[in-house]
Amino acid sequence: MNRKAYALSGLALLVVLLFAINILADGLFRGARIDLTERGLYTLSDGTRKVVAGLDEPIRLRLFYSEKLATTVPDIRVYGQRVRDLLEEIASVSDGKVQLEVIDPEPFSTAEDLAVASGVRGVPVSESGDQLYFGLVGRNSTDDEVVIPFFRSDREPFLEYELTRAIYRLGHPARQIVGILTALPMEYGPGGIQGAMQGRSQPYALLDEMRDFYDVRFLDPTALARVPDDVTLLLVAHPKKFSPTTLYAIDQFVLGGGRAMIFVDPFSETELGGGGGMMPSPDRGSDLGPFTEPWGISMVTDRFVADIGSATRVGYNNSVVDYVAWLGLGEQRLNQDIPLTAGLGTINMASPGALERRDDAPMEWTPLITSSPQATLMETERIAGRPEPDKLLIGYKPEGGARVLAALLRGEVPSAFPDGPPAPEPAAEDAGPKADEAPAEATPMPAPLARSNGPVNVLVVADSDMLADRFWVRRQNFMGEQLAIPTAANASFVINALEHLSGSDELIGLRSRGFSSRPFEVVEDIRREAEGRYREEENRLQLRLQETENRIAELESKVGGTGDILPKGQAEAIESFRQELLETRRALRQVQRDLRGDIDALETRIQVLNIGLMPLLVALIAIFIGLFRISRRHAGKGIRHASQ
Amino acid sequence: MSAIWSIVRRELAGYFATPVAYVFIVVFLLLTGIFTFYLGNFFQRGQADLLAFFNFHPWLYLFLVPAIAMRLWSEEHKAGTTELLLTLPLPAYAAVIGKFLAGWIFIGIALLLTLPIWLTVNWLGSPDNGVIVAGYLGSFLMAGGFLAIGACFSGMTSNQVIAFVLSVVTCFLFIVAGVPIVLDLFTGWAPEALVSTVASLSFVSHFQGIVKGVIDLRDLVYFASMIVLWLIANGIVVELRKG
Repeated sequence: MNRKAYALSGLALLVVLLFAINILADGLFRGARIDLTERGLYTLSDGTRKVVAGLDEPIRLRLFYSEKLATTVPDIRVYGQRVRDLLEEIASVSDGKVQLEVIDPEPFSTAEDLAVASGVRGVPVSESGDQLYFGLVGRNSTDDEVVIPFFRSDREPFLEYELTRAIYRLGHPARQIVGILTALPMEYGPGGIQGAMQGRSQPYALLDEMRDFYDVRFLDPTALARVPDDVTLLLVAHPKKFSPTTLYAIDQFVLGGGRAMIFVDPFSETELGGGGGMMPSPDRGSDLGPFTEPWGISMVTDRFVADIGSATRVGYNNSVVDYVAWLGLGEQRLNQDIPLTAGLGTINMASPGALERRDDAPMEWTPLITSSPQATLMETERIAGRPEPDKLLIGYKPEGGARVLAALLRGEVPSAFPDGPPAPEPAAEDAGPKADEAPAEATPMPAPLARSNGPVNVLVVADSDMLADRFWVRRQNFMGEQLAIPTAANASFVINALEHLSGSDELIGLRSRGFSSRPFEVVEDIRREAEGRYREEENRLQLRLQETENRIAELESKVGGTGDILPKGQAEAIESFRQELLETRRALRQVQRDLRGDIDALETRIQVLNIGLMPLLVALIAIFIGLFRISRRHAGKGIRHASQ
Repeated sequence: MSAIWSIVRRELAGYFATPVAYVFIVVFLLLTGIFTFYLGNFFQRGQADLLAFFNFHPWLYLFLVPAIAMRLWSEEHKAGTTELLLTLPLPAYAAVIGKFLAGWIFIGIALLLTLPIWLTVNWLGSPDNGVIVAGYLGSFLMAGGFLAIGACFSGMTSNQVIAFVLSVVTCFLFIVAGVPIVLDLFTGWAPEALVSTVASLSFVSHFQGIVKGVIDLRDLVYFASMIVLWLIANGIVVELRKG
């Protein structure tokens, strides 16, 4: 009896232990784990951790995810789980600063109303029109809101970046100010300031796009002593004839941790040619000037990148030709590994330059836009006058491989002005009407920086024409209103770049993670191959259809518009064509069936092999061993009999 | 140590001496295949991973593992060989651990024989093999948990059917502890901490964490504690029967 009591209390103790150990482990070992996934899908990058750790106030994230409906859409289900896991992971490392709420907005529920009201977009998935929601609404304590209307699975490589960016934005809700320094007529349009005074002001459409996200302020490139403190982003476009003090201001801004986007150009097609009938200046290039040496990055001057592989087609002399100076740079030419340029579309550039990096440059660079490998460098003189696209093609020879047209730079650099600020210019006092901000003399100049404090982030683009309206936007009159319709992704690129640069250093460092979807490639191949065949077949049908129609039309025209009944021979011909048509359609359906058939056959084979093969083998082995034992037993008996 | 191994060897040899082991393996392989392809919609999912395969393991084990475990002790009790076994010059824990390990290795062998499905996904696409390794590890650990429960009940009774039923019921409770329907029963009245503790004792939630490809120390602690504590309980009930 005593033993039994002991045993029972022992068992009770075990139950208590089971709970205690697991509760204890839950508290102690949070985050102690090994991520065996190939790309570390469940391991947050340091960048995200730092952004989350840097939050001062709590952030509420609401994930609207129609989990029940998503079970019918495998693609979304897989991605949904991924998004949810990542958000939970972020919340779990945030020390409670990121609060996650997962809501399944079922049809006709108040949760659905909430999703719609918050700007989350529904996608109809079922025949009854039920909407599937898969979006995120983030809110900080001052009710600033960031909305991701729908998580598109093709953006998955940048999921962590986008979530972290949303959190960062909620943590830093103040609107940033972009300072613009330019020799281009960005503010008033091609007519320049004179044109503006005559009421023909046409600012770059890009500015409107920028103003949706930032405050934009023009700075005077001829007399800027220092970049105002509240400007956090600098857009430098075509830095031509900038005063030394302005260049110094840029230098100090960048060294102090300011983010800059610099557009240089071997040949600007959009700079002001003087407007009022003046000849365009023969020198229309700009370069990185004093920054070339300390940064180790340069642009080849006086020569532009001509690229037959990316040339746009232009109308010329009543025909359409490839113009190798104007490039349409599509997906393959844009870096797909970083969110800034991935999936952007096509970027147009006009006579861009080639960027080069010195081997010992202190700046690391990430090329963003490159030419095709068929590119070559041409003298800018060849396009200086009236462009003749066909002449550029004469003797065209690819040389030097793909050229870098835009790159992100990052590194610790020395000042371009090692001897301190340049002497102030006397012209500073007649600073034109462009100088919006208070004179810099009012505040004392800070001590010059000789080196950057930590790594600086700069984006360099070797073309400034891409900013101009005519290379990316078409203006249209709609009901008396001017509408800007983008024809290329140039503005999105600039906005993305500013967004990228405006994030914290950690955010800039976040890279793509790749897709977690892993399709059956073999099945896909079969499908593609079969679809190829199907398309061939389809084309043949189309051709035949066309032919048949032509012949029928021909026959009918012979008869003329008299409305007579077709002669017998012709009616028969038409009938036979129709027959042919039906025949081809039948063949087409067969191909479609075969397409599915190949895959079905493969699936059946795999299924049978996987379900049947191993059990069969095991059964055979068992039978074999059984037989072996029986025979041995018999043999043993035989031996015993013999010995008796 | 050698004492444990001699028991493991004796037990394993015992498994394969009868057709039961082979029947078990064949049934296991057939069921995993059928579950994966028909219930798991392996092809319809179109993803080169083994989620369709692993997702059904808790439910497969629910019946198959107690079937293996039920004879671990009950058979000896019935044949009256338990006393014999325990009077051998071996420590009592060696018998407990040895029998458990033999069963675990046996399940491991059955699990290894599912490798064709791994080869299949690698042929069909390019799966994340790290995740699959984790899945196998998680499945094996979970089987260990089920087996320890089954071994304990087998040690209680000489009736294999009773041992089987008791372990299936217990294993079932440990599976559904994390299922929302069960948790809803508690959420109304029980304190939040109790609910989350109950949920955290579920095989499924720990298993699913590992199947995703993340080996969390807490999941390892959970499975280890399940195995060790149920085996200690097993030792206690066997001792008790010795009288």
